[in-house]
Amino acid sequence: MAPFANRCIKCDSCQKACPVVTIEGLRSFSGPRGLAVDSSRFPEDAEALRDNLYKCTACFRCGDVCPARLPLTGQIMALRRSIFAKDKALGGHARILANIDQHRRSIEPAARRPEAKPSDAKLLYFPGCIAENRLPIIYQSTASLLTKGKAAFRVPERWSCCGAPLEKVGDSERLRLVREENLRFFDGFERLVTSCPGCTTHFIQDYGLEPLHTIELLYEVVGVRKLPALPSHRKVKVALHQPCHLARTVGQHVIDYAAEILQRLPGVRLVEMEDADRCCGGGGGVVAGHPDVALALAKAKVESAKRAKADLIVAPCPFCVMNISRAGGVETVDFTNFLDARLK
Amino acid sequence: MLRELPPIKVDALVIGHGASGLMAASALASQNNNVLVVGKGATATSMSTGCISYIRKDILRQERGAIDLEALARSVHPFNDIMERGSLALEEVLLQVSSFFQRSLSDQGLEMTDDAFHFFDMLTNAGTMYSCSIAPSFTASGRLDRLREGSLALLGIEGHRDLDPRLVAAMCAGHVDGVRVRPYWRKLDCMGHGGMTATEAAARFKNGGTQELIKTISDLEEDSVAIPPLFGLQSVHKGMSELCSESEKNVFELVTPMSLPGLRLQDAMERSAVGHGCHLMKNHLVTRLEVKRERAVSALIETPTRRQAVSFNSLILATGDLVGGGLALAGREVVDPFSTFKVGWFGKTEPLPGQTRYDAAMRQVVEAGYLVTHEMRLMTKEGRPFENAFGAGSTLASFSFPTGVGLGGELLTAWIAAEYAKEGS
Repeated sequence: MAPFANRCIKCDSCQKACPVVTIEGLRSFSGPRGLAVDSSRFPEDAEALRDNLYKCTACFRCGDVCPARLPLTGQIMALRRSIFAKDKALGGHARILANIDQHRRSIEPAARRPEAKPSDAKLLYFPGCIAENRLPIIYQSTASLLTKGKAAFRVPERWSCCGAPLEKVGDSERLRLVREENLRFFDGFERLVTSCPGCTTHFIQDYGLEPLHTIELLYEVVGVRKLPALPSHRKVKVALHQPCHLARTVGQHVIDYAAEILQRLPGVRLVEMEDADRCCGGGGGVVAGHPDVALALAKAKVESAKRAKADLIVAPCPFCVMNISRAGGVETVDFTNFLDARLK
Repeated sequence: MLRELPPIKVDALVIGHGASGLMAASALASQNNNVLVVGKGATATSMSTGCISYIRKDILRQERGAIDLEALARSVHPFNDIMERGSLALEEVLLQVSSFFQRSLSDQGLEMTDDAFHFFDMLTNAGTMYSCSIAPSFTASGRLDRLREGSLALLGIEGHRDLDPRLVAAMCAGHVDGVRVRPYWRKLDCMGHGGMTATEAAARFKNGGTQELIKTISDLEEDSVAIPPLFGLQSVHKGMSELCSESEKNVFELVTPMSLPGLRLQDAMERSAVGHGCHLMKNHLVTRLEVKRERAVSALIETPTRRQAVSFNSLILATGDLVGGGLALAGREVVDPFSTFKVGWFGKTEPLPGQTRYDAAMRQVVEAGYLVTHEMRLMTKEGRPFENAFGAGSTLASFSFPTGVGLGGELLTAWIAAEYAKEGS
């Protein structure tokens, strides 16, 4: 523990970059430095930080600005694992655990779900819990885009939640369970594509797989830039939100791809939004654990979009779409949904 | 685990996105080069005062107000050679670099005043003196020679950590002659509860605090008012000029490190680089460099999950000093994290009079850095200069001692590096 804490040069960059600090202030939230560095000197007191620890949205911004390159978010997640106990889980987190036990999804499944057609395609599409049960339009748009791009794909007949929410709650036992199940269900694929940057990141870091995010597949493999676009759509000013797990863990190149794809669409003008890479509050299990924090961050995101005079926020992440939409004010749509509606 | 992205090719790769990296990148891109900037972590620029000085303390003792170019050249090792055998005249380079810098920032809404050949004194938020050559106009309006024979109010805002007026008043009592200084604490409704960082305060202030502050300032009897930094890059000029014109007073920011001024400079330089056509990849780490004889050929860029090879015609290394992570420590020795270039230092190994052995060892560590020729070319371990790899900024030897020498040398070396890198690409 000590060597980690001793590498901190106490510059406060992480505290300044932390989106939750701007919302909560340092009186009610310790910030990345307090949680990851200072508290690691007193591991026996981690329990007292329970409330604080679960306010982190796991956006990785602190680790990115850290001059000493400390893996701050990873340290916070490790602390969560160390204090995890099912009976002490926050209300929303307890629901996630119950849903996993019952349905193998992190959320209550919808009554009608998109159907997986049997196929022997080698491209596996993993929609994730949100795109299947809350925003099926993402599932449909992705399927439609892949069809337009002549990429044969299949959805596994059975799958479990990737486990990213469990990682954020700190439950390593269930995490191991869903990983083993999924690796069995995924048998015989050549390429894996995911809608949710959270799933993408988790498959890489926890499973050791090499998935692509939808945008990477569309840009690098399907060649979406060559697909014909529908003409004369109404003019629209779009602010591109940069989901944390996409921009920071998968990589900035995906955001560049997304921007390039959008700019080619007739009638679409990208506007620059202040703090486009600031977390919308949708990550880290904060929506379930501290919905007030998540909502305040979503509102800040909408305010940025309003100041940029955007008509629309496009977010390439199901979680972000869901959370920013809760704030209202500016319409928020998923990237694939927006793109599919504008391609022939 | 790491997925390979298709390799890319650029004219110039700049590693490091602080003042020198962005300066070199902008200079190259403004001449139609295809430039990629890769950086990771908070830069020292973003923690700086946001002001530029080309000077060290020993140069200040020269004729007051003007900079002694020869003393400047003597102070930092690569400059020595520039004066002696380089084809560039230091004076001309200073002129070019500062006018390019000021023009670029002004396009991004950050007006910087005065020139690289003079310096002036200002007050910091710790009450100490700060000398620099180029500063944002709303900071420079607080230069001490303009305040003489006047009265100055130090306005602290409750809950804002950046300005404690009592501390500044007590500290500056000795050295600010002819200025009547008075501290005030005031509470603003828009700030809510106290105990916040400057960025938090700026976020709260954005929601309509200017009118309240104007009223507070107008009620003070002094003709100059110093405030903590309250505005981000987007709103700073509008905000500060509103405060001045509405209250009819000279309102300025104190020089404040580790706060908004540094972040504003970083922000403006990033925007300017992108505006000149650079491609900026933040949050990426260069993990490997491939070198053939005296040519750097390609580099590997990594995120936590992706990896991409970049080949380039020229390379500029502006990775910062030991604290910033541009250099590495192996035992007591400073080493090159890429294990490619020559690292060294220029001081004496024996302790100077009055120094302990520990002081000397410490100084050696802090002063060490990449060695370059007068054309900023990095060297192989054997001391042969590279054809296309250049060093710039505080990663160079003798740049980080004493600390806090201002960003002038960073800009200057970056400009020279870019000047020679152009020829290669």
